[in-house]
Amino acid sequence: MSRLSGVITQPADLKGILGIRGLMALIAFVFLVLMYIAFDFYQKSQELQTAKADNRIWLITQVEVDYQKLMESVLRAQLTLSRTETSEAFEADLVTVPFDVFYSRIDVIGALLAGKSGISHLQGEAQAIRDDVNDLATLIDTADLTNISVLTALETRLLALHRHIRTLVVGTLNFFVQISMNQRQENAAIWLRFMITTVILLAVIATAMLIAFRVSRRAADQVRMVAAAADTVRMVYEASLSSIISMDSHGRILSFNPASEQIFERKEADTIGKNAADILIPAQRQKAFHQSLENFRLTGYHELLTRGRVRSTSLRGDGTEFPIAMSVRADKDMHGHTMIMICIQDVSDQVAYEASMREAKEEAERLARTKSAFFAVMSHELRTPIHGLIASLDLIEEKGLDPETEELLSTAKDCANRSLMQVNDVLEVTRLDEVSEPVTPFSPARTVSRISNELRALASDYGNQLNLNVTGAMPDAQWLGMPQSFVRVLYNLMGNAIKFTKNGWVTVRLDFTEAEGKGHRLAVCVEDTGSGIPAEDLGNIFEVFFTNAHRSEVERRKCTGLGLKIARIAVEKMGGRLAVESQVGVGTKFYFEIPLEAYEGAEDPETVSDETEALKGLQLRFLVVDDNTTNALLTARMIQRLGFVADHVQSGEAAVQSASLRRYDIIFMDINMPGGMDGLEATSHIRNGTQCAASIIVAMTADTTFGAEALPEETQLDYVLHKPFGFADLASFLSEKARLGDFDMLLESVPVKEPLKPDFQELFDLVGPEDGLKLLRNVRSDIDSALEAALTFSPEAADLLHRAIGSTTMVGLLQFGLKLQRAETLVREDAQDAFIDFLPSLKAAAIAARQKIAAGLSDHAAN
Amino acid sequence: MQRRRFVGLSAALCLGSAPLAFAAHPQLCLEGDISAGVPVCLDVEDLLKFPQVSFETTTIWTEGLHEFSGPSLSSVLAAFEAGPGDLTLSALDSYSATLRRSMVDVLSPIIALRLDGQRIERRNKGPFWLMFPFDSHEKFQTAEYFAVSVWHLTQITVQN
Repeated sequence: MSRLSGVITQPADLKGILGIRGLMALIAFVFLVLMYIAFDFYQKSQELQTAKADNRIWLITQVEVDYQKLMESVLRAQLTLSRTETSEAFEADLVTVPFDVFYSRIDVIGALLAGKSGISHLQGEAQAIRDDVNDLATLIDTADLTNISVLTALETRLLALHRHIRTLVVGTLNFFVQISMNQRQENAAIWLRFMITTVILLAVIATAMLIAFRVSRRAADQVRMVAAAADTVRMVYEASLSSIISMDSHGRILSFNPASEQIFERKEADTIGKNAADILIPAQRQKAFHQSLENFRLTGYHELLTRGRVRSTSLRGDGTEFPIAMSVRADKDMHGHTMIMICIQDVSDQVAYEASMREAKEEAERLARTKSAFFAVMSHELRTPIHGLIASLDLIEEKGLDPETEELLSTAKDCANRSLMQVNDVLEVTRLDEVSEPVTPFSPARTVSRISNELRALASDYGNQLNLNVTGAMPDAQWLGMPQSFVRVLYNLMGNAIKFTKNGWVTVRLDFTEAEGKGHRLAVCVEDTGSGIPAEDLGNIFEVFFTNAHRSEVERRKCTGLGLKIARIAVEKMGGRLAVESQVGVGTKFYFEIPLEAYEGAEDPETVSDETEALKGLQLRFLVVDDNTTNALLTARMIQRLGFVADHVQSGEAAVQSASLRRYDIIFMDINMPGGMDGLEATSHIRNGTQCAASIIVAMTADTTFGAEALPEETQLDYVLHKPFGFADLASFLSEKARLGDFDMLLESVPVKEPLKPDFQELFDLVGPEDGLKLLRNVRSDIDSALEAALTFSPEAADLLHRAIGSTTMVGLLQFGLKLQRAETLVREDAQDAFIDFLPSLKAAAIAARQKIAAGLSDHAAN
Repeated sequence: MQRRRFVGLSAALCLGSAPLAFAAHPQLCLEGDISAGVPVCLDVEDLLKFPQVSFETTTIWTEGLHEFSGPSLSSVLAAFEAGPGDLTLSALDSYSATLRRSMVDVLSPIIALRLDGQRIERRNKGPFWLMFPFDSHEKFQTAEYFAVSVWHLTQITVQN
């Protein structure tokens, strides 16, 4: 905990530190100034010592004393001479010594006054006196001092000098007294200055002390506050349920809180000072951890520092890895060292929960997919018997039936047709749920126009007038959207409107708008003047299998209950929401609004026209006609795999019947169908008086010469596709024709694949294991019957060989197919010798083919 | 030792003549605590036999810078084995002052005999003038030093 307190204590108030330092500097400065001033004062006061002045005054006053002594000596000498009247008793020194003393004194005075300014009168006086004294010196040195008259003259001269001496002494005294006074005043001024400076500086120091006191008190307050804050942080740190770990920029752990101990199952004491990489980071990330810290030390940047919660994993004390969530921040501690704080939570429970949730979701999705697949398979499988049912009902001779039976037959036909519709719609709904549609360019106005044309016949059956009303944009304008979904919606809404309106109006409105900030939008409204929907039912109409109890039996028969569901799903896929308004007896209005993106690209002639684009939304229906069941089924599966609906029949007669029952967009017709109506005959029937009179009919034949240049007009066939063909051949055939614009349809990126591999994998991928095995067995039996017939020269040999060719080539046994083809040719040409010669080769090939089939059967049966 | 002998000799030479204040050859007399026990009087010639110390300085009694030279007081005192007591200095005009021994250094003061190379006459404050090198140090610029810089010096008494 002591380490942490260092870690979490805020650095002391910098201002306080600066203040104290400044204060100390100030005090030191003041102290220095005081020292300097004191020294300066001492020096000045030294200079001002009165020594010289005192000595000068002594010297000056002494002048008069020496003068008086000299005078006294002269008078005494005169007295001595007058009394004794002899010169022997007289000592010349009696006068000369006092004179020399006096002379020296006068000389000194001259030196004293020399060089001083403002005292020229004194200097003049001194000079005059010196001149006189020099004269007297000459007199004393030369004259006979024993002569009384000389002494008298000396006395007279000295007396005359007295006044001048007096003036000099008084004047000089005054001058020096004045100097002394000035000096004393200057002294006082210096003293005063010193005092004032000292007082000011003392005041400064006192103020500084006061400030220092305040600062220290505030610092103490701050320390208390910081301590309190640190206490709080410490409590949070200790009480936190999250692990809080701090480390230095090398990853060494600085602190490890109690929650960390619990989460990581390690003791604080065992972790402090250790590197996090060594004890917390899983081995495979240790290198990256050090690398990222090194980067951080170099650049000061670490990606985790700016991110919030991050998921990772860590190690517990026992070395087990567990999931964590963490957030990371970095800061400097009070010593300026980088400190990285990491907050960690153990998210094992959460991760486990999430995993279980994900599993549950996946399970739910899997179930949903299973359900969808089930619906798809069921509806698809249901259609076959229904088709059979419809065909059978149609074949019942209606003539000569009693009215009751006729009525029952009619009801049965209605029911069968309605079942087929419902099954188809179920298939549609599941497809809608599964398939997402890419955004492609199309023209909504032209699409609606085309649908209107298609539904015009239906509308006139109900006596309805169809109206199309486009506002806001050019009808030809291209937009980016989902044409398939759009077609489904409009087809359903318009179809419903027509069916539930009798002798009224059905109006479709398209309104293109461009709203500020919302981009381009298209508002679509389908309105009818039909019977309307009661208010209580409006909330339910989008439910699956909703049927209106109030509607008549006839009306109910017309709808599967899935149309609105399909429309609503499609509108939602386009980013809109389908809404309805209705009033019983007045009419119903369905409307929605979808976003559209402006299409900038020019209309490329290579791309499919938007009309065929729109057709893509409509389910193209194929009919495959082949007397060989395997071929028929396989071709149909290939077409379904390309995303279309395909039915298949095994004879020309059945083909004509199917074409009469419903409209197929494209019919694949096998030309050579021995033992019944062949392809050409069937085509002729279909072209004359069935619903598929205008359909595209593609001939399938192994005869490569058939239609090699151009199809004869009388065949009424549109194209030819030569057998054998695989999935890739069929796909490229369809996409080629679509791209050339021959087909009114679009094949979206038809996959181009290799031909079927001999191991039959593609076959099984295509039809599933069960049908695959069945097909392979059929192929095997085809081969067996063909070979048996050929060996016995049976008249059916050619036909059986032909059938076997189709089967074998379709499943990928191309080499064997070619042998069979050669055999068929020889049989048909009745070339028995050649055929016998060919038999061993054919048998060998047959054995190889059978082995392959056997291997395929066992492989896929095992799976 | 040699110097002591020489000084002793010169001191003995002086003993013959009586001390006369106003003699034609002015003399400087040493009294008090000295080895001779009686006053010893020296004239300029005697003192010129001592090592001569010279320095340049200004003084408050003279104009301008001058060179003073003469024996150091300490060497003269040592020659006569003077005691450690303070000295009483007397002048021709009966002026007297006390020189504390602490103020006597090896080279200062000197008993100045020459000023700018010339003998100092009695008329010009000679012939014996106790002189400090005033310009060399501030300590000499005080009243105490001024008071003991005695000119017309006649007598030095070593106190007991």
